[in-house]
Amino acid sequence: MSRVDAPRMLALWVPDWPVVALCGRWGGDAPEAGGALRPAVEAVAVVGGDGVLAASAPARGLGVSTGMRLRLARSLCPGLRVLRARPEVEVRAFEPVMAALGEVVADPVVARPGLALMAARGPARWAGGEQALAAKVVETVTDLTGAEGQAGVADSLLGAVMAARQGVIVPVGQAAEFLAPLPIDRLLAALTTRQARQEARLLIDTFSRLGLRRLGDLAGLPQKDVAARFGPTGALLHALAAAQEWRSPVCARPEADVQVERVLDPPVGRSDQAAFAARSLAEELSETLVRRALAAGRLQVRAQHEDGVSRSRCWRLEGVPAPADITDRVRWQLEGWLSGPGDGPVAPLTLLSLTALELRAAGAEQKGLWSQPGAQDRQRVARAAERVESLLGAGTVLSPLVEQGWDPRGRVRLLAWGEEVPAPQPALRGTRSLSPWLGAVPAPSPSVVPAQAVPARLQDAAGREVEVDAHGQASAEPHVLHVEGGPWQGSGEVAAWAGPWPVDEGWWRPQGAHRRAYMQVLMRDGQALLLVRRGRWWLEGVYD
Amino acid sequence: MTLESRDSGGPGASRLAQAQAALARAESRAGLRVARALEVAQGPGRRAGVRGAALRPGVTRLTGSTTVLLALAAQAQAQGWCALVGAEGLGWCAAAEEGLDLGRVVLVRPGEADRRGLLAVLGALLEAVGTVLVTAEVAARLRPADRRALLARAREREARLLTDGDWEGARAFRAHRLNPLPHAGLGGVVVPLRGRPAPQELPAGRLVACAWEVRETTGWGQVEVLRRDSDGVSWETGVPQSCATSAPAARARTQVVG
Repeated sequence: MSRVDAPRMLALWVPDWPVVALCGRWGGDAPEAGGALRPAVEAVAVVGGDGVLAASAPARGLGVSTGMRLRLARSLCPGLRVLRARPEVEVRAFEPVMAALGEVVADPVVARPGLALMAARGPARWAGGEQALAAKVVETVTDLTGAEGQAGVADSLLGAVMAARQGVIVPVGQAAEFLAPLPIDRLLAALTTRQARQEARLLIDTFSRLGLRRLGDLAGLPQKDVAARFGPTGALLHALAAAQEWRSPVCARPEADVQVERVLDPPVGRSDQAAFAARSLAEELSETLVRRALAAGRLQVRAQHEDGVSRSRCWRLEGVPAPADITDRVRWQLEGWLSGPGDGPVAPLTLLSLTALELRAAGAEQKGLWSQPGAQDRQRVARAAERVESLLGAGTVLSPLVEQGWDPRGRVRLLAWGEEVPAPQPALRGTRSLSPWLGAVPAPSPSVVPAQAVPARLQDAAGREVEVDAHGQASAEPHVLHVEGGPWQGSGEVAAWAGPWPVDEGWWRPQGAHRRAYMQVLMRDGQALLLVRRGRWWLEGVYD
Repeated sequence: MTLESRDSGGPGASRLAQAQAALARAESRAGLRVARALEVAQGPGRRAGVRGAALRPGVTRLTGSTTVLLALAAQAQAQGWCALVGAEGLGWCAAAEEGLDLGRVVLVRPGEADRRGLLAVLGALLEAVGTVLVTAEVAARLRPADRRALLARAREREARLLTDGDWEGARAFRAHRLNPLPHAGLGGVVVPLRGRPAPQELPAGRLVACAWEVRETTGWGQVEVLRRDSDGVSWETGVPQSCATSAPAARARTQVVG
């Protein structure tokens, strides 16, 4: 090879990257992971729709290979731990590896998660030789991220990738000779997109049938003839095999999330103490964002409780948040959690972590030429809400949200002001998005839903309690209703009724199903009421 | 030519008037109008009914029905924001069905705040939010002087304050529930003269609609009827035939039978 200006290329390959990524701290919350896995000693496989995508070394030692059906893999290796493929986690988890590479070389490029490419000529001079550079790259990545990779250097793209797989350095000009004896399907290793691999695979089948089984066989053919017969894909494969292709495919690097966390020891049970910890965390997060010149779109607050429960919540942010903004939101969130809405006080906090998500360059957000309709109103109202909250205390300003559901009480959620509105629930198949659930209490809804349901008694003509059986049928026609409290206290005669609407939900929970039945009652004085049977009768709503 | 001579008439004045008229025509063709003129054009004017009152800056007091109160809040909210202060035990599903956009609602739960705190909160809300609904329990914590001050503030800020509690200086309306039997689809019920009619199942299988008539507490203002069904609310002005015959008659009949 006479080319003198051919660049030297260094490839870093982390074997079985999907397994490494999903077993690491990024994949630790995968439900099927069941605690930390050690891919170095345990048989682990990542399985997607078409069988095994990657397997750890012990699993491969037992015969599990890529592309194998899960059933066959399990029969070969009965103790196989199976992880679901999560490409997005694999991509994100590779970012720390790229950051570590950035410590050694300038501008490394992701070919695909698990394979990084970089120019080697300049850094090699600086590091004192290609051997030293490769050793330094592998060492740095292992030190900083714990991922163990192999490095290889060669003249061309495919040469570097293959050299990394073998952990060798191919001398200048010998990439073609190095590649020649390798099987022709190794071409796939240098292609990054699924579509390119698909096209190449078809072509490689054809090459095999034509007797081209080694990369050298393909490289030996005249380039013009291959291009004329097999088109651009053929020409690309020929260039790869002949070690003449060094344009590295580029894949966008995700911006790493900015996360700060603090272990609280001793555990914190009071919100003011937690807010104190939150203050320093918020300052740290804000400072990190400013230093990296980033603005965040969302703030995720995550807390770990002493009893092992972990809660997290997202807040929407605008621009670069000041520490006070972050502290306020964390404080509101912690007060909400520690007071335990509904289910009593919760265990003290042991860990608090703040993550800034949806990062973008600060100052780069484009305000519209004309402000959005209502944007000014929204800002004014937001300022007033903040003022009111500062006057009355945290958690006093809310925004109501009506969701899909069965009954007027269960459909309502009151969110703290500024909390991110969750995405609407997906519509049931075959229904319009806004149509109410089948079997829900029908509209119109009662305009008064007492904060606490009021006990009531509903009796038939003989004075017996009206009951609702397992099939949702009332045992008798209601005649008299006694309401035992609240402004509606008293007795009255029933003029008409409708229902009952039985609701049976939560039957999958260990504490048993939550069964109840709703009934509309029209009193003789014209008052319309909504009752619920839940152990006994309760006044649930008034059509006032 | 001086200003006086132009104003006093003559060719100058007519030219100015012509020019102004031409500009006004151009403006109206382009869809441009003075904000205040627009308000007058769109605003309720001096309609006597409760809907008109609720759309005018100031305080409107409505007692007797939460549904009507929510319908007025939804109407006053229009394209703006609405703040609710207090509002314990409010049916938010009903509020949404009646047209209140919950995405533009601020709910303030004042808890045990004293009158001084409440005054500051309501002041801050009137500054920013076009429609503020204060429920009776919260309104009762204020002194009459505070309520008068807030009324003045609402007028000054052109904000609308709705309440179901006492409020000095407010225009007061009262809602009466119309007997829902004809509305609920039970029209033509045969009421036996002797003994109690047996309760019956609603023919539609559910409560179809309720209705209220709203009139001003003082004087003989216009009567408006609000009908609430699963599609939302609809208003009828005056006393519609069906309600006129059914409401008092039904009430009276019930009394006779009872």
